[in-house]
Amino acid sequence: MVDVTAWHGPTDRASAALEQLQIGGTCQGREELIALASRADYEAALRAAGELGEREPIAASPLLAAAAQAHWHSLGSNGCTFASFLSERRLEYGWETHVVHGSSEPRELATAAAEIFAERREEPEVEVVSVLLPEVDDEALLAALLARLSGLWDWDVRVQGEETDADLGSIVRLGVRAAVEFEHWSEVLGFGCFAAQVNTRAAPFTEMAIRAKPPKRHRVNQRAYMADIDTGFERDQVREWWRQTEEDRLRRLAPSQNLRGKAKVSFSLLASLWGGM
Amino acid sequence: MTTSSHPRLNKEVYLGSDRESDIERLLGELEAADVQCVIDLRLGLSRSDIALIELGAQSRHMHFAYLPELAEAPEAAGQPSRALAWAARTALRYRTCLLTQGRSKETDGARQIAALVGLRLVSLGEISDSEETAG
Repeated sequence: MVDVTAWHGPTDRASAALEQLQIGGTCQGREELIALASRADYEAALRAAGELGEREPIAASPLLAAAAQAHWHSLGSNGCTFASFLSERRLEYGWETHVVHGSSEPRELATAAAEIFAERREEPEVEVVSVLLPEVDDEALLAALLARLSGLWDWDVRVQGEETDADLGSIVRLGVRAAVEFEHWSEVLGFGCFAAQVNTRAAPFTEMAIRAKPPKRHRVNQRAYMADIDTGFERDQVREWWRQTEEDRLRRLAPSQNLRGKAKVSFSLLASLWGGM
Repeated sequence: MTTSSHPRLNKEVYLGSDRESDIERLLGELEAADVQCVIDLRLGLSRSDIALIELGAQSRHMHFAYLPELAEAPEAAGQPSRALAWAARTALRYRTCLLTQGRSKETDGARQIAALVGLRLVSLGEISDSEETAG
């Protein structure tokens, strides 16, 4: 039976443990190896602080998984300066996390994700809804979950392109969008540890971070993005953050990952797993 | 229901009137007041009237919704209708103008929207006047 746990920020003890995080994970960036905090790094930090039992996987602890994932974003691991800033100030800027766990049934997981988003997108102060799926590690399960979402009127899952990776073979780039007010569509940022995921999306856990609102101004292309969130900064500051984001994204992506690293691509999966859906 | 106490939400909602019946002038006023969303409460508009203002608002990057049902009958006490709750939440988030033709039913509808979430209802004319005299 699927269960949903809302996360309202880390406890003081979890925060203290995460401050001691030692990053052991790496990924191949454009020109060099880049440090990238892994699930194992988070488990080690939380175990060392006594927050996680010796044999207890972090995925079984919804609140610790949420705290670790938020910390990963705050570190700037996803290459987005806006997301890093916002993740450190989630309460202030209306970024919510809901952890969906206790089921490996795609229909249940998709229904829970869709219901959470449908309910929370209506609240005026909510800017981003993260649906965290710490127990979804199997790419086939993620593919089945996304296929379920594609059948709902207020979700749109479509192939953005295909490519062949030298190591992984055929890969499909999937764009996931969710309907928000005023007939706008929000581009969903997908994260998780899957073979074809790009470095900027290779978070410790599977997550859909969904912009919950259209921009304050009607947009002709009717798209909604994370960067639309009003931070209250001057235009020059915002422009500088865009520049930093683009630079860091390029630095973090391997040369072969450029297409998969585009904002409109939510998840990259092995084509064999999507083709049969 | 959320109220306007959240620091990132609005404290007031504008009340606009189209007595001038000049759509371009009306849209110009809304744009000048930096309105982000128009909720149209006017009764009896034709489809072409609605399409005209919707397109006009959107071309000026304002969101638009036509909800005359909020002016058709007063809401009973108790649970607000879905449309009323939506309009109130929207006014909290977007700088919104509730558009009327000055009929009492329409104005009552606007008052209900504002009251539901504790927003101050400010005449759009008052905003323009104060801006004109402020300089």
